[in-house]
Amino acid sequence: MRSQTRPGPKRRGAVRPPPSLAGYVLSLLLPRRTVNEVLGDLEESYDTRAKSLGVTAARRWYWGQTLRFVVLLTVKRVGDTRNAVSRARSRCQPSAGHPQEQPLGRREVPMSTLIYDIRYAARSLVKDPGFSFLAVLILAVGIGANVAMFSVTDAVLLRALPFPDAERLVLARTTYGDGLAWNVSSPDYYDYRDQNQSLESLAAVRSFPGPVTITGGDEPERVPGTLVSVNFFPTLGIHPQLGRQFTQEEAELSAPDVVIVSHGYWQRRFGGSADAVGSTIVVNSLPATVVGVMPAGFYFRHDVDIWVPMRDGGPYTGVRRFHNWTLVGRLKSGVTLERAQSDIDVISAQLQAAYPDSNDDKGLRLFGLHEALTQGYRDMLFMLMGAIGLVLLIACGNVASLLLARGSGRTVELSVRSALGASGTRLARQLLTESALMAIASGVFGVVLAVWLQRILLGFMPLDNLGIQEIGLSVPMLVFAVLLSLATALVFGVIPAVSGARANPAENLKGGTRASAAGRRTRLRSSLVILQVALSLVLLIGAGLLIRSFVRLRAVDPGFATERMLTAEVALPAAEYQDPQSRILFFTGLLEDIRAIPGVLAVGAINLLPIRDSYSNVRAWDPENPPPEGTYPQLAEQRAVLPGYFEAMEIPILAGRDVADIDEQGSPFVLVISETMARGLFPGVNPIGRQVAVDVGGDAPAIADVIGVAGDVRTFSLGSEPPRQMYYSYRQAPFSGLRLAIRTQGSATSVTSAVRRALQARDPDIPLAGVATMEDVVSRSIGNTRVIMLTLTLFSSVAVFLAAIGLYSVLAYYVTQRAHEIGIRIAMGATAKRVLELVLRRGLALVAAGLVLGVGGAFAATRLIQQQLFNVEPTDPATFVTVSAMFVLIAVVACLVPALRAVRTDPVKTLQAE
Amino acid sequence: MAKRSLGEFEQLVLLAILRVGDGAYVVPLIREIEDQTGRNASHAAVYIALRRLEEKGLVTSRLADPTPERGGRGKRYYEVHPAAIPLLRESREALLRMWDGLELVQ
Repeated sequence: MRSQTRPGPKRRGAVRPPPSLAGYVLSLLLPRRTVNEVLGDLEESYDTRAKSLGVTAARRWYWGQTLRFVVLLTVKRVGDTRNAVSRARSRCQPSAGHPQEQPLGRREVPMSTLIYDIRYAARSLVKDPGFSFLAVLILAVGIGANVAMFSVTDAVLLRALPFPDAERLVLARTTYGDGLAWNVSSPDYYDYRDQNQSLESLAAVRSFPGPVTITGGDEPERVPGTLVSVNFFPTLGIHPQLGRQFTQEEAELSAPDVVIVSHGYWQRRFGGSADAVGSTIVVNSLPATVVGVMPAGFYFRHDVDIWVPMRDGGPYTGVRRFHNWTLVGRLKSGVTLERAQSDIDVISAQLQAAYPDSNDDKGLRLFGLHEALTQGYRDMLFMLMGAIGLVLLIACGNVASLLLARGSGRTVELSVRSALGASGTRLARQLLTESALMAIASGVFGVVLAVWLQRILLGFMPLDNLGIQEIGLSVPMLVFAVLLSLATALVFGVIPAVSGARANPAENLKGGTRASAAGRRTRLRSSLVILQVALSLVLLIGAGLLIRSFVRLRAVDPGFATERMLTAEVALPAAEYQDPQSRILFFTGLLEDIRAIPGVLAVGAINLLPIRDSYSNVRAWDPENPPPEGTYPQLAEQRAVLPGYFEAMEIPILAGRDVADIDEQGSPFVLVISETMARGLFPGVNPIGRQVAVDVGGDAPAIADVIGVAGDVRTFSLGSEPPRQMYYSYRQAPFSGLRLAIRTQGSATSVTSAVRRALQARDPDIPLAGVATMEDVVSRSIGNTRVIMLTLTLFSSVAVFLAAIGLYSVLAYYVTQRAHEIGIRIAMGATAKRVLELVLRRGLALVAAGLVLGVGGAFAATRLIQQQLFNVEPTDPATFVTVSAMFVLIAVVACLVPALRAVRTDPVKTLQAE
Repeated sequence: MAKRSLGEFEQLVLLAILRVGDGAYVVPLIREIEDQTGRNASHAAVYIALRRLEEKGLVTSRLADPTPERGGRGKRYYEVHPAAIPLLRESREALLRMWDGLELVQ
């Protein structure tokens, strides 16, 4: 027999299966032993319907059936519990003449009040479908957005990383005095790895500066690659799904070249064949044997297709001053982070004593891996959670206000029930049940909405550090939705319930609309509106600050031209271009060809483009004026350029000259330095002709002549100050790859294919990689800020909209309530202006109170987004004033509609009606 | 005092089981009720009624092997327990007695 819980064989035909979400809801709700048969019955009917009425109708039907199950099962379960309780009670008080056996005894128990309440509530909601729909919609949006936001936060912050015993994984970062950096040098790494007592293992990982080139297949490929210490995979606790890990011997420089490939690459390149292990591929022109394939979904900080073992004496190793490796370790079982840290501190102290030149103020700090990886998102997510929570509060305020308004329509109904003997608690419970029912309905729609919103949120949230691509439905998310719905019901239901419970039959049944309960209700609604105005103002000011900050960030001059600029990269296979001269020839020739393309105005080449690529920095100083003993010279970023780079990027040469063809191997080592560096090293002196000492890793620094001063460039991000920069001549430092910056006449991408052809003509084996316009590169670099700004703007627009609706409905109600009074005033000769003033004053008083509260709240709250702000104070007066003014404008419009209606009041009609 | 009695929908479900005979599971039961009464019956309502009748001991059921037509899921077949027959008969007679002499009412 087949297992009952298995999904079963593939469905016949092409009929689309029933909605899986509905099936999931049912499987949560139904007793486990009946889930299968019920889903089977439903699916059978669904199939019949899908064939006769079409899939859409069938899916709608399926959802309808699911909803009925939700309602009926809930009612049944509540009834069962009640029955059990009352059966237990009646057993305790046996009465004479009571039948001993009562298997059918269900009917004799009076229907529990709760079921009654639920039925009554359902009826009264159905009676007023427009109202119910509006309320459920408002709440569903609020709940859905919160649940979506929560699911993302949960996945990022609460869920463990996908490694066994992930809580024992740590990330180790270098400390300098108070400073903190990601990377560690390889000699330090070896010392910490071999000397510590508290880590099971300590691994090092480093990405290649660019993609690695793989040849030998049909076409050369560029794939992301990473160097890892041989213990990297065992440290994380993940084994290859095929083949083996790296061995200890493969950390030796003399060992044969081996690689481990990703599951994705194995599928693409080898079609998932088991023969892949043991085969040879050519990585950066060197043949290497594939020894393992990682399982699908393995991810550590970057998408990687090829892992190459870190070698002692290989690339990026050997110099204690050069920090290139990210360290990840696994604590021994039972060892705390604190204990491991003190163990590490002892080693740091020894290293400081042994290598004062390089390790003087250097240490190593351990962080929980999860904490370290999520650090950048934590604040953003909490801030957005807070913001979206406020939106839900405002939505609750609105629905409470709607309920109160409706409550006044139901005064008579409640009064009758009260007169017939219903207690205040009883009525309050009735009203709360209605709210709960509404909240549950909103919760169900909210979850559906959340699944959809989640995809949007993930679409623009850069969670690449964690490799999160999809979340879907999760149990915590559903639990959160249920709790949130119930909390929501309490928040928006309690005020109307209390207000309803106070129904005074004697007073209300006398009739008329000027009852004092109505007055109390109006006061309640007014306070709700004040609160809404305040909360939405806080959000709006937050959004305003972010917009202002974003505009300032966008307006920052990065120091180079971004418009009509195409960027791309060209890497030369090391084996074919071993001779430096051949690289120089290749690139100078390629630049000539590209310059000749119609539509190309200028072209430059550099090893690392600003903002787009990472950077490399070393210590550099004025040899005539070395830093005092015991201090370190400052760091400066180093890049290599070919002549024409500054012109193409429109970076001004402020003094001296650009590098030129004469600056080649054999001629004096030259540098163009940035303005900031010139000011820092040679204050008040003409730097041209002076010398700079550069730490190139050996015992003695390299000495270079300054030939020019270039404008400052923001190399890391638009928001960070330009660092000290220096440029070598590529002819004197010919790295294997260069990035191109091509300035065009028309749109940047118009020359892409011509550039590609030019490259192909030079060497068909070299791909043109990473093609992107500079504008895209720059926008992407501020993507995070943009996400936060857009999300908060969206949230606050919803909030303001809801607050405006609240304001409008309170005033409209006020006008209806005061129709009598207004009628008399008009009859007595009040002008339209007076009446307008009367109503507007009322509305704007609410707004003013809300503004005071909101501005106060914003003063306190905007400090939370200080980190996200660029060149804007969190209490920026201009933003506060502008946003408040804008809000007043919206409020006036919301008030004006009911006010104008008041002016048009016909006194005869209103007084007649009374 | 309490008397064993059947709800209207419970009667419909019991009668449907009797009418369908062998092979009475939820889907043909719904079809039978809909065909004979012209009323829509939801899966949930029939499911709940069957649960309730089972709890009262008026219906028995057995789980059959899964078949590929329903995504490979099992079926539960129902049978009316003899204890239900007198109750059904009582309900019918009660109704008929109430109708007696009211044939003109349309």
